[in-house]
Amino acid sequence: MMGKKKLGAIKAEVAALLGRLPGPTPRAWLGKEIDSAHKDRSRDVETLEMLCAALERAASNGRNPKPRRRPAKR
Amino acid sequence: MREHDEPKPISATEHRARIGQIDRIARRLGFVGTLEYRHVSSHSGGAQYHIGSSAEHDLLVLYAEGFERDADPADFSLEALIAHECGHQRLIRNRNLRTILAKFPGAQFEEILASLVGSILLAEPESAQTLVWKATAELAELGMSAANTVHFIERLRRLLRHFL
Repeated sequence: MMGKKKLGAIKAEVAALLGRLPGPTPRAWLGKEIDSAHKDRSRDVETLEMLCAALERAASNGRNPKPRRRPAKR
Repeated sequence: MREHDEPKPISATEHRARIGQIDRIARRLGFVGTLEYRHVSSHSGGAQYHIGSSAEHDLLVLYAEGFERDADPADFSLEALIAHECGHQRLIRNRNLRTILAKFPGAQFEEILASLVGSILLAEPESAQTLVWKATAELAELGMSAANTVHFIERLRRLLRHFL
């Protein structure tokens, strides 16, 4: 069950969590992790990049709305 | 839609279109079983997976809220809602994923894993990442540090992808 929490609230929670990452800035910490994951096949770059996107969305303060899909074919 | 309000009526054409949309998305994501659309409020987030006696008897129900959420730019897409429920089915029906689920007991962990599986099933990265964010927020609620949460989500997603 998806639960009723809106995506906007979840994004804010993730951004707050990532804001607590160690290092000079959260973006720098994630950037280092992504670089390290690129060199290690046991890591998952895509997941780290998705988390990084959450930070970037928070920074852009909602200027990138959810993309609209095509209407259903009838 | 306000709490306890019922959705506005829709035409038979719109009803059929919604069923068609659910069917296309769910089948593309590999759902096996029966799909239903109920034009009522679920008060549960808009979609629900029900376990049947076999995968063929499983049921995925979409509610009017699912479409309302999809129309809201600040909320989950229909693809993400359906993928999360498909994630539940995979966790129950895939033997390897069932083993992983058994290692992380509890409804809260099942929700986290279902979102991560759903994010892997989705080819469209925008909706996929929203499910990763949801899983991350829910894992953080368990009280892990930020760095450990990031590492754990990364490892879990890699592990799940390996078995899908």
